[in-house]
Amino acid sequence: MSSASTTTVRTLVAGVPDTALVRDDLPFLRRRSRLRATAPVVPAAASALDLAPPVTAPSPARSGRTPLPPLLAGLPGVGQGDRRLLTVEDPVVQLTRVQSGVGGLRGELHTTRADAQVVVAYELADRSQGVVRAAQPYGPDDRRPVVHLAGLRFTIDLRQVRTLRRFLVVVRPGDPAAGPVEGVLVVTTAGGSRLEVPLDPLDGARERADGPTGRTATVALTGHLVRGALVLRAEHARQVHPLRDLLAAYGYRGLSWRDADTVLAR
Amino acid sequence: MAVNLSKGGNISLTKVAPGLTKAVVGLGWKPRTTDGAAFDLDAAALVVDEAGRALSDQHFVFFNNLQDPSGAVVHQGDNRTGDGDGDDEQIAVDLAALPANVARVVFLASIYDADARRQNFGQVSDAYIRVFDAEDPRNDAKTVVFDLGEDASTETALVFGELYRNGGDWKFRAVGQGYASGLVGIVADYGLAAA
Repeated sequence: MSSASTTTVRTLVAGVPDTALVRDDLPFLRRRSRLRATAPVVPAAASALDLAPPVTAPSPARSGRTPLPPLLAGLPGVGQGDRRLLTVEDPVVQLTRVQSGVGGLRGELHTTRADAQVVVAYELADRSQGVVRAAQPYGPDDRRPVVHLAGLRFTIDLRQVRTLRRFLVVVRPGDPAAGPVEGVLVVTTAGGSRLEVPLDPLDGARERADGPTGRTATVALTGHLVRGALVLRAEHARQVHPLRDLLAAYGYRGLSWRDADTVLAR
Repeated sequence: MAVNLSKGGNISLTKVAPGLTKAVVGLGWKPRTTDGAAFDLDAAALVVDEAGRALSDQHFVFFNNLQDPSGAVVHQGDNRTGDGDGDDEQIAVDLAALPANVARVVFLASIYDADARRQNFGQVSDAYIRVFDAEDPRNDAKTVVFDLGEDASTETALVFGELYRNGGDWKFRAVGQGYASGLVGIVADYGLAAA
């Protein structure tokens, strides 16, 4: 006991918490220790509550803590209330951690085609995959859905963004013979930032240049959670109509299919 | 015996807890018994400057951004039900490590999915915020408590309190300000570009 309190005193004086005994009886200490990195030496704290500006460079990240990984550099963002068109030349946007974590990410397809369908495929952090579509609008379940589809609108619950790995939004015609759907997919964040993905008829022309036929489904948008931030990309790509083949082309191979177009619900 | 504050009251932490450098702010609540959906409250902290604006969106510390860039303000994780004893969520603040341009650290909580579940703080009882010394957590005499009572009713997000600089001191103020506009409203109020 005396040695324990000596250690505690030494910790208080020298400010080296990593040498402190593990106090399993104090829940918050237990939780803190998880956050602590393999810490190098912590500099002795200045006198308590000394508000004088630091002599050295302004506030480097505290040693003894794991800094959050930085967001990807060089990707454009979107400001509050701003509107951005995600074109073929400029298809990527990176949301901030706050934009990626507050409220919902909402998407709505604007089109004049009556037979247009929106399908969202997703992969969760545990690598499980699923598809939401009109017949099956909640994913992964309806109690606390991460992805919800209502008609031509989808919502991603950003409170649960950390359980998400990636998602993919497909726009396709109900009747493949009628040709691809034209329109625009509008994605909004809680602060009123607005991203517009035009479903360009030229997307098909680009595809036709290298020869495929029968590609009537448009892969409108993909999203990936990267270090706590959502990176969205307008794909401007045409794909074959059957969902199974379309999703397999984007790496969604963890699904079971009743037929080429119907996923087996979990 | 902990020091109790009433709404609007403030107190010098240097006086209550001499030598305090690492404070832990605990927020707690109990959902009233309802037959509706479960309550999920999320605590968050905003690190703001003299003008009351968040320094950047990285200075909004919440479940998707568990610490500020200096590492001085650290969210300790999420509790989704409000069940169990003790604080429901805790945020640790290393006062000595806060950069000089930080004037205040504001603590708030919001109800997840409040609109869809038709929930608000009127349905939450025993909400409180307390500040204690990380190195002396069991010492009640060095603990400051603000019991929110039944003040908030229709709000879906609530600023519980704030730590602020006053000369050479850190003080704590009991705020208890509700926001019907939810987390989005609070975040917008503090000048965050994101939400």
